[in-house]
Amino acid sequence: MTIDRPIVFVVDDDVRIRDALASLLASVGFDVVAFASATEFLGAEKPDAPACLVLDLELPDIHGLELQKDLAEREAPPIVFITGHGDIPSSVKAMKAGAVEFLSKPFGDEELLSAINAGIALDRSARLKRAERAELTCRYERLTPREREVLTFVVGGFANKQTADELGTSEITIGVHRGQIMRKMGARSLAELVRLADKLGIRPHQSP
Amino acid sequence: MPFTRLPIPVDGVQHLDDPFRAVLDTIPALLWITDAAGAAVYINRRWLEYTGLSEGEALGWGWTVALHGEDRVRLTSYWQSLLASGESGKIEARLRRFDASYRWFLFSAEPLHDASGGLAGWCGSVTDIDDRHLAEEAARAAERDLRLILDNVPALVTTATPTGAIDFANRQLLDYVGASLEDLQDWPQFIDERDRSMMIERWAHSLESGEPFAAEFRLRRADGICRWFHATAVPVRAPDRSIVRWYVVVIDVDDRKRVEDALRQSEAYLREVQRLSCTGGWRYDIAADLVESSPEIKRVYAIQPGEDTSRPPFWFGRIHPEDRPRIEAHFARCLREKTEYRATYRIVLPDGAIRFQYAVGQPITNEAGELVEIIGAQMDMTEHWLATIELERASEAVRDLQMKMSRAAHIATVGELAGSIAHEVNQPLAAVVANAHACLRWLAAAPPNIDRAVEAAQRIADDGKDAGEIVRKVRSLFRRAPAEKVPLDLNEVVREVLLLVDSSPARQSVLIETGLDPDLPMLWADRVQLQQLLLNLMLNALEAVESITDRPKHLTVRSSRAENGDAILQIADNGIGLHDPEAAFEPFFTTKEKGMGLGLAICRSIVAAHSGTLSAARNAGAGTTFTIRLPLQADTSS
Repeated sequence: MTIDRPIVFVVDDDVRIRDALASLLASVGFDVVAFASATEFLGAEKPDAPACLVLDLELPDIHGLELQKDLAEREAPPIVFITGHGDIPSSVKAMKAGAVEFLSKPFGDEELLSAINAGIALDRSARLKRAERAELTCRYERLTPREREVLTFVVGGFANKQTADELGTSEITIGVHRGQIMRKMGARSLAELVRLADKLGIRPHQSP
Repeated sequence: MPFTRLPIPVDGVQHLDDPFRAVLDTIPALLWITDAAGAAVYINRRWLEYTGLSEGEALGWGWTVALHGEDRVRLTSYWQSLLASGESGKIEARLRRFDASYRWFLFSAEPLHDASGGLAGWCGSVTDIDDRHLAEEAARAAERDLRLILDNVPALVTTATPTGAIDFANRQLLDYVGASLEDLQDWPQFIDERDRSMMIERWAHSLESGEPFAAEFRLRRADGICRWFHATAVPVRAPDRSIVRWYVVVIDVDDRKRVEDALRQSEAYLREVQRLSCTGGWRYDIAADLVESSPEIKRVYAIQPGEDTSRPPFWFGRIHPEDRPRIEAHFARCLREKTEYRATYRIVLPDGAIRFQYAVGQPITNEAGELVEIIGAQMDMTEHWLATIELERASEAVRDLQMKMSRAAHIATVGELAGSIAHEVNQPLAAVVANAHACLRWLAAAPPNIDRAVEAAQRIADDGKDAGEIVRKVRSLFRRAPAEKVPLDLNEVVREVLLLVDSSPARQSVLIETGLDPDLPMLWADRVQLQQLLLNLMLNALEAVESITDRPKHLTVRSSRAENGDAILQIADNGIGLHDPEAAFEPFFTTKEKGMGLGLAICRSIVAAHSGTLSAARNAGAGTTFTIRLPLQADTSS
């Protein structure tokens, strides 16, 4: 994690809007990067920081809703839509697809700023979750194939004896595996291990 | 030869007087006498002559050498059993003749008793039964053969007594029904119930009348499946004509029956297909000069029963006189050149109706390459042809409509224009607002960032100018609206616009009533502008009635002629109504959340461009009536 200074991306084909928003957002202390088209935005290098995207609905190259759909498949920042038409069907679609806010031009500064702040907060927690998940995956990857197998038994509530019987090995060996698993996964208790496995989407072994 | 009592002791036979012996020896039968233990004490001359044995060789047990090797054990053991039981008996066996050939004989033995009733010995005869035996053997073999044949013929065979009792059934029959001969006595149980009563009736009739029997019926197999069979039964009669027996042969015709059914079905299909497709088949036999035609052709040509349709002239006679020479020539050429026949022509039915025909024919030649016949198909194209004409008319209507729609698309841009004006104005406006906020925030910062605040203020001024420029452009756009005036029917314009309005979702629950004066003279006006005008007013009216729920939504469009000759068009709704109708014509007046408030202003400017007037008035009941008044001869100079 680098500096946690949030960044706001503005995508609007109208230079007047870009300039005005850049100035307004800078005045409250955000870093602002503005783009004239969706293509420009997609192609740009983005700093590793919590962010929010202020997106014009009617872009010349890609429609805002289309871009929103594309971005949903990546780890993209939350979106605040702005539009000069502001029709209800579009706003419903945008909100359903997870937009933070849908603002009709012209809009007040407080409306915009609170939407952006909400978006940044969302992104911050999403990034935290992703980092946690990445860390967990990293830990899980350190397990040997055998340890991964034993893990499903441990989180499935099997005693060492049962696990040993099922896997055709000794209770002592399972005990050793178990210790290794707890250490590598950084779990201090069985309950914690179960929680971590659940976060990783590991399915506990079911009794036959 | 039943001796029961011998007047002399058995062992005395050898010592009998010659005359008595001579009698026994001359009897034309083979005779013998044994003692109580079964050893021969006397064998007559015939016996000896037949076998060629000497008396010395034959007496005692010596005679058994003349028995056939295969019969010896059987006969001697039987003989032993008689000796043991003391009972008389008979057995057949082969006896060797002096010439070493064998013949079948019947050996019979009778016990002899002495005066005190004790067993004294045995006597018996040996009778030649060879001829009879051979005959019996042949009969048995014949029966075996017959049985073999009957059991293996691919038919079910059974015989019945004159009263109908089944007394024989071949293996095939028993195997098929999976039952015994006794079960067959109740044969109707094996017949499918659909045919059962018919079979019982027919069989009873044959038994009674002696008439041969023939019927087709379904017979249930052991596995429950019914197959079709054909049964024939004929009586065999004694010389006195009385019936001795019934012979019944039952043949499986299921496959044939199925083929027949399939054929019937496919013929029915073909007829149906011919009827549905209005296609018939025909055949012209050249040598015989005969025409065959299918029922469908006869139907299309309205042929009456009894009409002779077998000659070509009949068919050519039905062709429309205008088409006949062409078709006759074409047909003749096909015959001459052995080429495919293909023709489209009209026929005239007896009632004068004209039908359109399409005919094709394929020439068929023999091995020598001579034309033998033409096989063809004929399709009635009348409906198709009529449909084509209909389609032609319909597509003309569609083309017409499309033309109108493209004009309508032009009109629709008015609404879109308003939307894009809104967007155009909103853009600089949004920038102005954002810049103003930015400016204030830069100023409010500690310390105030004057440079940035000035920049923002400068942008406000620029954006404001932009907005003003846009409004100016919009104004000039409407002012410059060019009018192309042509003579047109106002009613027609109304109908076109109503067509457009019909596609509007808001229209669905609204009753639109029209009262168009058919005598309205032609106007001199711009069609597109009039359409814009009417569409705008009608959509307004629809919106005005949209929210009402306490009464039916109602719209009236009425055209009429004023006393001075002006055309008047009124559009009345029973909607929410306007508080001050005249104010509605002011630019930017709107009762709608999203409206620009320009619609009625534009409408009035259009009417003005046509030297007319547009006014609005509140209805006595509910809603508003807009009245357009257009002079018939507008100033043509504009």
